[in-house]
Amino acid sequence: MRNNIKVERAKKDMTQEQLAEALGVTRQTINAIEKNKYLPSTLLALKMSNLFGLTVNELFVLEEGD
Amino acid sequence: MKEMLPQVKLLPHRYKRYGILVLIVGIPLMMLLTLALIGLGIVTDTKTFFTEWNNPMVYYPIIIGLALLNFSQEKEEDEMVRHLRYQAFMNGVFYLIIGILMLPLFYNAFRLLRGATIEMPDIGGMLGALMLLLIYTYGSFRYKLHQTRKALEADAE
Repeated sequence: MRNNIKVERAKKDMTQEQLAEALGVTRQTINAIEKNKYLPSTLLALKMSNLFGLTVNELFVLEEGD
Repeated sequence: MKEMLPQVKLLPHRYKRYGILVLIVGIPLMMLLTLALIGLGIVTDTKTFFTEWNNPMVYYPIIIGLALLNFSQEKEEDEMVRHLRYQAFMNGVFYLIIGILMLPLFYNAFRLLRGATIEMPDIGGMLGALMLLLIYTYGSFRYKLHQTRKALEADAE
């Protein structure tokens, strides 16, 4: 699975720290999600997509083999 | 869902400091306690005390200190931290099982190297504790699974 968080974050001119604060998680968690080291919970994915004004499917994209 | 035992909640972050404190001062404190017990005459059979009690007593501050470290929140606690802690516990239990089961092997390998005969080390307590942990974990898991399935069956459309 890949995600477009880094791109969407850049569009909103947000730092990882700011996004983390808005979502109530740590900056390390945002970093790990962006780098595909950690898969967020449904709740966090929904919160994130809400914040960017996108659907979860637009933010997180399934890849072949997932 | 009904729980067999109350759910364990993590302690606030400050308990990590208490854990470190217990680890640092715990062992000297236990030594002082031992000396005080002997000095006050509460413990008279010191030979038995030192063979039966003193060694396990040393583990108490270590175990309590480590438990406080393990069961207290991080400074910044979120779902990834919880996920990593869960993984660490899973790995910890797994390697503990392997380690304890392999202990007689290593113990006897050293004995054979020293030219001694093979014997079973005294690990009955460890095996018992491990067995209880695994029985509880599996029992609790099966129970939760059963309760969840039952609730879902009732709600099935």
